[in-house]
Amino acid sequence: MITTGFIKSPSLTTRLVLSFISSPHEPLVEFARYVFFKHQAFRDPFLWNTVIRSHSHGSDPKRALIVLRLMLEDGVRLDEYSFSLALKACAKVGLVREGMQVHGLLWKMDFGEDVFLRNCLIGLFVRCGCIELARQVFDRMPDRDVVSYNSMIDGYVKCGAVERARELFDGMGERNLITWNSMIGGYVRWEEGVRFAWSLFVKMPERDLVSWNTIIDGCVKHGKMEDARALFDEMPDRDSVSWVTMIDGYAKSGDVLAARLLFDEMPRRDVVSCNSMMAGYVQNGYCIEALKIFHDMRRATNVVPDETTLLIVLTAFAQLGYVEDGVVVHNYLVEKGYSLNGKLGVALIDMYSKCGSIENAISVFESVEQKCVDHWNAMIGGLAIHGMGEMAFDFLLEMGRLCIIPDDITFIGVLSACRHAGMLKEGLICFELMQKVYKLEPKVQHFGCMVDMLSRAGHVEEAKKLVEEMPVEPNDVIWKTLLSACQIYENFSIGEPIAQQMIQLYSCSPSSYVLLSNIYASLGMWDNVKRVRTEMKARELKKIPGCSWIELGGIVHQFSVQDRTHPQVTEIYSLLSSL
Amino acid sequence: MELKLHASMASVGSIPLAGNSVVLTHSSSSVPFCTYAVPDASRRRNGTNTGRSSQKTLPLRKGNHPNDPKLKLDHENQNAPLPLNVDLVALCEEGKLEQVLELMGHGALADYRVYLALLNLCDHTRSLESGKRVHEFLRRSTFRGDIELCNRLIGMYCKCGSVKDARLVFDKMPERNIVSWHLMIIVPSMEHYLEVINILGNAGQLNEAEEFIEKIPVEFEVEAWESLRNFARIHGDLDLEDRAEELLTCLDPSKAIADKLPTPPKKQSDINMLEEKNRVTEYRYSIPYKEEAREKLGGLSGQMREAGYVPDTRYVLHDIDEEEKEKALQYHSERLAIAYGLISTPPRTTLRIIKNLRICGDCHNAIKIMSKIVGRELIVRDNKRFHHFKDGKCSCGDYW
Repeated sequence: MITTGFIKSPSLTTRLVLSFISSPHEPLVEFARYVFFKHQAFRDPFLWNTVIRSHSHGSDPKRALIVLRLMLEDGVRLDEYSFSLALKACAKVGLVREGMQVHGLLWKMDFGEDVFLRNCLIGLFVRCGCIELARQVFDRMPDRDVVSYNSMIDGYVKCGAVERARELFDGMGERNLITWNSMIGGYVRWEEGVRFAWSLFVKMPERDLVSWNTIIDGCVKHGKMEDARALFDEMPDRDSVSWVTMIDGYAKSGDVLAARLLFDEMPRRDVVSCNSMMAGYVQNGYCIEALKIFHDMRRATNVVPDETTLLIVLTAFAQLGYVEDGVVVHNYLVEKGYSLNGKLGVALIDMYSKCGSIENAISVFESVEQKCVDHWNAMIGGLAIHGMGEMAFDFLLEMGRLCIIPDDITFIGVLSACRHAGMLKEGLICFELMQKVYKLEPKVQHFGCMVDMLSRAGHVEEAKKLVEEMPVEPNDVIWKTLLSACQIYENFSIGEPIAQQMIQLYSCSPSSYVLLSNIYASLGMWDNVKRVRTEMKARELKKIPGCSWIELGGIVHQFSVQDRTHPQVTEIYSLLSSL
Repeated sequence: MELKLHASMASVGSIPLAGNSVVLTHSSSSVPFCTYAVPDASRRRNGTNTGRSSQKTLPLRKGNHPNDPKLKLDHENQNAPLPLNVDLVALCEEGKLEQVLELMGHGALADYRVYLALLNLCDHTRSLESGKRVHEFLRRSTFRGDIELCNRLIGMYCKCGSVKDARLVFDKMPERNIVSWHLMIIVPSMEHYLEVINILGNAGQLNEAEEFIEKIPVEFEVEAWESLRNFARIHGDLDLEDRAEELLTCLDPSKAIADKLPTPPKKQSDINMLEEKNRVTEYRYSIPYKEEAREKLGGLSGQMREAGYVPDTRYVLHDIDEEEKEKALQYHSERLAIAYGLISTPPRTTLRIIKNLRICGDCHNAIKIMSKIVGRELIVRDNKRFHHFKDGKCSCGDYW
């Protein structure tokens, strides 16, 4: 067309633009825009709107506003579609100020009364979290339709104002399926609302898949698995979301067997359901079972592992200590060209750290081209558990030099590194730094690190004082940390009352009893030891037994204390006895 | 008349002076008398002196008898052990087995040469009954544990057709050598061949092991070459390892292929679905490393104590005695895992162990010393952090 001069033909260029502007291939879209702007004669708003749409639905919605401005400059008439597309672009990237400018412009151009555009405005403000602005637009509408109400209800639901949403819901003359689904979705967000959701659900004139999935999701989220299962079994039709919701719910409740049964019953599994099952296994400590699903996925032809799959796999390897398998996945990522700038890089660093290969973790960290705070956090956390406190501290300083703002997780890592390395002075500096320089309020985890740091250094009194002065409520971990220090330093006067208090607070936790018993034992108070252990037995509390494992040749060998179940027990025990 | 007076004076004895005078005057007639008197006096004084007197008498009498020299020679022979022992050997050489056994039954002492000769003779005559009698004498002697004699005993029993007795001897041998095993392989089994290879392999005699494999029955070749390949890997003989690997591939492609499969598929058959959380019940039994474990057992014996390890029983919070506390410390889970790793992996392999709880102070100290003794890096991850044990030190700097 260019060489023949046909590019100058308005009819042909119009066809070209209309044909390419909606193409899924970005280069063709760019070419269409080029032709459009090259041809200065286009006055048709329709063509301009197609270009605006290509941006508002594209990767850079802000450019839609630029095209809108060009329309004004060129004197092209804006219509309601132009404004609606511009408002959608603003909504997509949260441009409130620009949205308000568009709002003002459409009023000036006498489109202020248009219901469609007002609905777009409501949607924009709702999406940007400006619920009151949305309500103002809503209240000034002389003629509201169901879309107006649905948008407002959705807005109230999302910001937690369920009662206000209900007021609108009750005030509606005619509702549609979206209205009901939105209202139910609002109620299921909080536990007490599930029964309200249920009462609406049973009154619905008709239900769709979203309705069922929403109510089931509500039951699942609040631990009502039996109700969820009953609803699930009644569903006329189910989709992947339905199955995944149930699988995820069972897994989160700890019932991986039920989750697995559902997983096996799925008519067609996809990567989402596989990921859900794998994640459930990993969260409950069944990492090997998660890996088995991964291997099944690799063998399947219709399910392709995605990035989420690999994240879960790396997490499993990290927990199990499978460094060799982690290397295999690492090589796979490199081979497939995955970027390590995102979560995968973070997961790799974490995996290598937790598998005992800190050198590889550092190597991966250094190879990441665009490091975010998560990469730094993973690296600092890895250095911490390997006792490399000085390097972790240096990494924090390096973040400052690179203007990377640390977050609370960063300081958990650094403080943990300091406590493991006995760097009390540096730890105190970091604790002050996070509050005064980075304006981060210390959380219970930070206080836990400080208590542990002081305790390890023998400053039990100072640790106790810190616990007593904490602005947040200390949890059982902090008390146990302090109690362990009392045991180590045989500080009975502090430890014994704390242990007694812990038993009152956490009567179902065996560790409190064990710690108290250990304090008594370290002081030779065997009668008290016997009393505490008798009480444990009466409450049917059991101490977590020690367990160690080693992976050799792809097989995991697990041992408990004085374990004699291994086929080579004779050699093992002979070797140890010889020592 | 004068003679009568002398006699009368002697019988009276009342006149001392007259008696003395008489003795001096008649010396020739008094000599026989005095000689006779001495025996009488001895007999009267002490009856037990009769024996002594007899001893003294015998030489005198013997001096008068022509057979005295012969008797002396007889006594000397009886007191000489070497001539008698030589006789036993000679008797064996003459085939007089029963005579030798009879003499031994009467207390004749047999030395090493005699037993060798006896066993050779039994082997020749194939007399099971005599062989058992020799075995009994040997069992009660100081040579009962001797490898050479035991091997000959095994051979003798085998030739006499008593495999059971041969096996009994074999089983009770404190030490065995290659000959012992060879002798026992009458109806050889896989175990026997592999044990021979293990002996040679552990001793580093890989060439001899290879020569041995080339002579064994074809049906045992696969396992034998596999075992040799493992030993080649242990001893770093890359050429032999490659050669063994190549042969294994030819003999049994499935075995070679199985060894080359990537790690992930191996786990699939090992997963125990939901019965126990991540507990894998299948174990791999490694024959080559079993013998290596025994060497490690001997090598490590007492070394930790010598290196300064003292059990810290403070970490045993039970009201038991010190000995029980030490025993309780000895078999903590991380130590069991390490021990298994040591007996299952080649030297200098880094071991990675994960523990669900915090490692105790005694194990921490013990593992430091173990890392130095075994020359390996031992990485332990507990529920708090990592500990890299190497050369007797830990990465935590003992601050954990």
